[in-house]
Amino acid sequence: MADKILLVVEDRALRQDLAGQLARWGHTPLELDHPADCLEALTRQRPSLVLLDNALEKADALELLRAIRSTEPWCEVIYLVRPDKLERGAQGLEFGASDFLVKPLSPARLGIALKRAQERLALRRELAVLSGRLPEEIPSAADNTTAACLGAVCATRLYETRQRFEQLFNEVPCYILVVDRQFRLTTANRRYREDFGEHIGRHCWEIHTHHDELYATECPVAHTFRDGQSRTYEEVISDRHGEQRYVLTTTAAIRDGAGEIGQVMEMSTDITQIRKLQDHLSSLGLLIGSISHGVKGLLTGLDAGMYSLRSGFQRGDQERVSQGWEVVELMVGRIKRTILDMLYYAKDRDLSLEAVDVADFARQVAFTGLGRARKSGVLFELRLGQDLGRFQVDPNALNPALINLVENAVDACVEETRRETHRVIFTVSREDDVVVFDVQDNGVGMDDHTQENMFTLFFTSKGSAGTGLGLFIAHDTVQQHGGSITVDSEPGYGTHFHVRIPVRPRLGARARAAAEGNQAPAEERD
Amino acid sequence: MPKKILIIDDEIHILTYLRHVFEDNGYQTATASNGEEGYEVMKREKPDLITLDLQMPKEGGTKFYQKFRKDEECKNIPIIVVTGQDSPHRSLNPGKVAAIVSKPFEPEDLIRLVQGAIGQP
Repeated sequence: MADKILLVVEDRALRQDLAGQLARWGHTPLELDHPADCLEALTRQRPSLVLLDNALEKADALELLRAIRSTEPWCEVIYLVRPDKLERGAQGLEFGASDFLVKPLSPARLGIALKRAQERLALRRELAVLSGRLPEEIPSAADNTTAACLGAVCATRLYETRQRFEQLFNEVPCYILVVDRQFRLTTANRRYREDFGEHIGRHCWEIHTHHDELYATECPVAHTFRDGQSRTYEEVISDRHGEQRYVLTTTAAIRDGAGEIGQVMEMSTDITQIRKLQDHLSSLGLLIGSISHGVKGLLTGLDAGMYSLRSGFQRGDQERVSQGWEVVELMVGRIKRTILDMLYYAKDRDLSLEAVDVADFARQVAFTGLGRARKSGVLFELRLGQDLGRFQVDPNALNPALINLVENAVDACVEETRRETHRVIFTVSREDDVVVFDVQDNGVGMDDHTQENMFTLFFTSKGSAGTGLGLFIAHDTVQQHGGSITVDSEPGYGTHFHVRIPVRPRLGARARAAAEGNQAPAEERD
Repeated sequence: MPKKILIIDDEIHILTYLRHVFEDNGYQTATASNGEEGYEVMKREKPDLITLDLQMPKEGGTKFYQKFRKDEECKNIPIIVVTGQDSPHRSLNPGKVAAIVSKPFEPEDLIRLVQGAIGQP
């Protein structure tokens, strides 16, 4: 690369030699009449390199060197000394020259010195770009403080970069965590820690799921450890408040210097809101789909009645008229009910709380369960605890929810074929301010996958016999009452549903708003 | 002798409706409320045309149709499927049925289809 090179050399022969040589190499040599002009030339011409001869009479070469350094610290200076004045070369370096050359100068040695100076210049330009500074701000490599400056620049840049990445890592609108080969959480961003808690050091399968260690070996993270390929999957995890979050997770392998996968990063996006919206939309779609056949039948029935009426009138056939009228009445009634049902399910139902006798409530649930169990040859047992008292619930919502659990238990028994006797035990007890319903069966039981997903809309383990609505609605209803459902199940051994309903529901905002509009509970009216 | 139409539908009001529509247009009718009964009536009455509902308790229209297709004596009787199902094509071979009518339907349209299949009564 061509450079402007300032020659501060009094010896005219040497200067002309140098200028000729430099021009042949494509550089632009700048010659001075007087060495003292050199500072002015520096600022005006901005050469990138100075060849400064030690043997000056009109000026003190070392002083000049010091001045050059302070005026243009980024300029490369090559100091020229006589072979008998080698110590001057060392002095030159001390005063800030980047290199020194011993006269007489051979083109080869000059060329090497220039090349090294150019490399240093290039390095500084690069450093300037990296550090966001002007090249002039980067001190010459020969400066005594160069190493320190470079170090400081690098450290600052490193610190800034690190801070920026840390900020990105923490603020990025998703959850990022890193697990090691033992599936232990080693790093998590702030968003994750805020929503899910401090879990560093714990196994990932302990934190969010009730998976066991065995599951971890088959999870997408394990696959990424095995083949380095990224995986994307959707899962439901519980946050620190026990709320379920739907997340879309992508895994990525993190390799160490040797290319080995030491860690896997998981990046999860919270899609709970989207899922909830989808659930609502699809439940509406499902509802419309499931009633569409019925509605068409009703409309045809209405047509049938109208036809009888019309043709009856035309023919003066009184019997046909009254027959038609009956059909119209019947169909209008059915259409009304269907539409009301549809509206009832399509809308978020507000609880209509009343004080209900727990034992009576339990008997009603058991009565329906018993009917189903008898038909299927399953033994059904109701165990009522002492002093169950009353609780504040919406029986029209909670009753079907519990019946759903009981009927599921019977279904699970029917499906189980190895045992001779199948039994469903429905136990109701009271623990302080909580009414506890336990539904235990010795049916087929559920695998982890089923347990994990059973409260999800449209998830069914019953094939075409299930709609995937029952447990979803049951779970929703219990939650609306401020209660909880947990499940303990093992394939081949049976299932135990454990439902806890507070005597007075700790209502969510939605239910509270609705309850405030309701009349005072019966218990308080007495 | 007017042509005879066998109506297979589990819903009594629709059965009566179709019977009225066909009889008012001069056709004779026979009725059955499920696939099994429909098959018996078909074998006994040898109708000129059959209208078939698909979704019925006991034995549905699809099962009736499968049996009907194998019946050497009756398999060429034109069938009109009258259904509230969204995609009845999935359970039938639509090329082999005379028509598929969606519930609810206009009586005139149905009569036109019947006339197209078997002509005037």
